[in-house]
Amino acid sequence: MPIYAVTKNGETNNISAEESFVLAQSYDSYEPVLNNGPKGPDEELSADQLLAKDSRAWRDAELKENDIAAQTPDWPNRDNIIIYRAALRAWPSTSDFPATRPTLGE
Amino acid sequence: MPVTLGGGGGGGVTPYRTYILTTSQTFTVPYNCTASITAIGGGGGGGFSVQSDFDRTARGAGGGAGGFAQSIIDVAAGAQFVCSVGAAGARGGSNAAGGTGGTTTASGPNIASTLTATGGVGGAALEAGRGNYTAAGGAGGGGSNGNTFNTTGGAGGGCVGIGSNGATTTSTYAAGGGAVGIFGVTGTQGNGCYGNGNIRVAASGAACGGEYINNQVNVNAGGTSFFQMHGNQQTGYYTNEAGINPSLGSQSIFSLAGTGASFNVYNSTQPDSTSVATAGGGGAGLFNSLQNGSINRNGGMFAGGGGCNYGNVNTLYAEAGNGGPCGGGGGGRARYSDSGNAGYGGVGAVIIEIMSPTF
Repeated sequence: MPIYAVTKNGETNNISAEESFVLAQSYDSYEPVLNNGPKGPDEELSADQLLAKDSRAWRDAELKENDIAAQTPDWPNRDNIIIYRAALRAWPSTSDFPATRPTLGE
Repeated sequence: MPVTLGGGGGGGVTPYRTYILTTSQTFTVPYNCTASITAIGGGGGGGFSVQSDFDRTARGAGGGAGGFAQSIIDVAAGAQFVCSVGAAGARGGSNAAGGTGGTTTASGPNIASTLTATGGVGGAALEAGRGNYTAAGGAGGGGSNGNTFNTTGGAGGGCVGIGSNGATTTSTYAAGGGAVGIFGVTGTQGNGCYGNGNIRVAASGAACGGEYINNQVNVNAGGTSFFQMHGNQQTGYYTNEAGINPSLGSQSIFSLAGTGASFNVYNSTQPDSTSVATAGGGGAGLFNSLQNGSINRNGGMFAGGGGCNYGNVNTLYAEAGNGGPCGGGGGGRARYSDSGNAGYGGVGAVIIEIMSPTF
């Protein structure tokens, strides 16, 4: 349903209305409100944003996957896991993001 | 076009016809009658907080419900009422509060002063470090100039971290939206999150006549129904029971607003497709489920949407529930990436119930 921001006596209000209704009222001004309704999950994202979003999701999954390992002193390969987690956390702020993913050392 | 409900007319104040207007329009009364005219403001949207790293904490509060103003008047066939319906409050973007719902007005013959119901305020969003921080639920809208009821909408649920740690590394909170005050008293507040330590909470939306819960456990609470409180479910599913407002019986659309039914879902891989809330029922909270979208977290008519927290890593687009149509507040959203969304508020409405028509 269209939404219009209507202004009267200096007060603006968003209403659900067809333009014909808006025109019939004595508002001082009005304008349509865009992008103010439910949308598909990625309708507003560019390709780069989608890649970044997926990459962050992958990073989050990796962090979650080894969360327990990082907190368990005798977990195999724990030292490398800790280094890997630090790299994962820093990754979004580096030039490698999102093209080159950090890797876990053996 | 208005939605027409009901029919019959069994005497008393049982409505002959009920019109629910969710789009602004000039409504022409078809009969000489006594009519109940109700304005309900748009619901506020939910806040959306993104935990940028595991050392941070996130809080997405629920939106407030719209105000409620109702008059009962005698009107003649052909009388026209100008009904301006408040829009739904927008959901918050990443780390942003939800938007405020629009104001609904109704004016016409025998309405001494324009019925006015303001919109609910959007829920706050707050990402912060460890410690005691609060994201407040949005305030409910107000009602004025009604000759029967003028009530304030239920506030959105808030997100509060307490204690020496307040909130620790994995603390995320998503609260529910508020419900419209359709029974002559302030609407029920959306369920909130009250955490001490390492806690994640996804609270449900408020139900009309339901009870407010301030969740303090690491679970989501189910949507509440009239005179029922079903919350703090540790795992699995839970179905709320239906309820009927005993003071109104089955006479009015507003009497239906106790029949909420919704599941809550905790860490589940099972579909929750049968859990749609009916009128008055708060949307379920959702924690770490494989469910995409938001439909089963949406509030029923007049009710608040459920909060959505965390989200399984494979569930990139899990969303908080939208506020129910006719003024419900939207649910808050919190997680550690920017996937998914908070809930929109419910669009406002003018509801006209025709009683005792003469032909």
